[in-house]
Amino acid sequence: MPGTWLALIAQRCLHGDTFALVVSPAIADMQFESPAGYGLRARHYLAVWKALAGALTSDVVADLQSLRDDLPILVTLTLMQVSYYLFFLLLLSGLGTGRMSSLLPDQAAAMHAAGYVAGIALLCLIPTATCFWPTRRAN
Amino acid sequence: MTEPRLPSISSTESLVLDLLETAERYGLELVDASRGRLKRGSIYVTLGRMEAKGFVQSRQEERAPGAIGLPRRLYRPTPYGLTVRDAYRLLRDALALKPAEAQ
Repeated sequence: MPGTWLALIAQRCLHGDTFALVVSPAIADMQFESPAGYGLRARHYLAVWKALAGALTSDVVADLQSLRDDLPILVTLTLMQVSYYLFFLLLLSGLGTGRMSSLLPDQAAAMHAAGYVAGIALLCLIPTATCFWPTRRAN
Repeated sequence: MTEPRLPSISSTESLVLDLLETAERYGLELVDASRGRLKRGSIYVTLGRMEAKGFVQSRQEERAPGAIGLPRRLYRPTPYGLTVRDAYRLLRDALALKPAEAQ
């Protein structure tokens, strides 16, 4: 049956009500029309993918909006983790020795360090945001 | 005190309500009936948004036992949706009047 695997992916990724209202009707219409030609089938699939993209966007936007209330605690937890890992990074970089002072004036090294900090912040943000991400709505 | 938010309706949503006024239809049927004014790729997102706004109602079609595939979703307009469409149409017409005609 065309679209079965797409329905499985969409059910896994989307909130239940979004799937039922946006993607499921698109797949059902495609299955009902059961297009014969390659071109028409491609157009049907494109329509389903567009519906899936639209549904995913609206779900992510709604989830991010609902995360706004948890923003202070999310930032605090992320900063705590960033501080923890940066402490060890600074130790490794040779804080308190002559090496650190020789590194700081170098612009390339400063950019390198900023890259590390941004990477660590991102890696800390991902698990924190995952913990606070809203649960999926059922139908 | 906050004022109640006025409902908004786009020209696409208005067109969907026009097409649904005569009969209950499913997504692709609406695309075909619109003669190119509605797109396959966006109709389902539009219908989902309209249902969330309360402009349309939908139900799953009844299937014969043993039928395979997902059931289609049929849409019909709500009285609220039609009221909003008519109100916006009146507003558009009123705003389109020239100042001399309005007096």
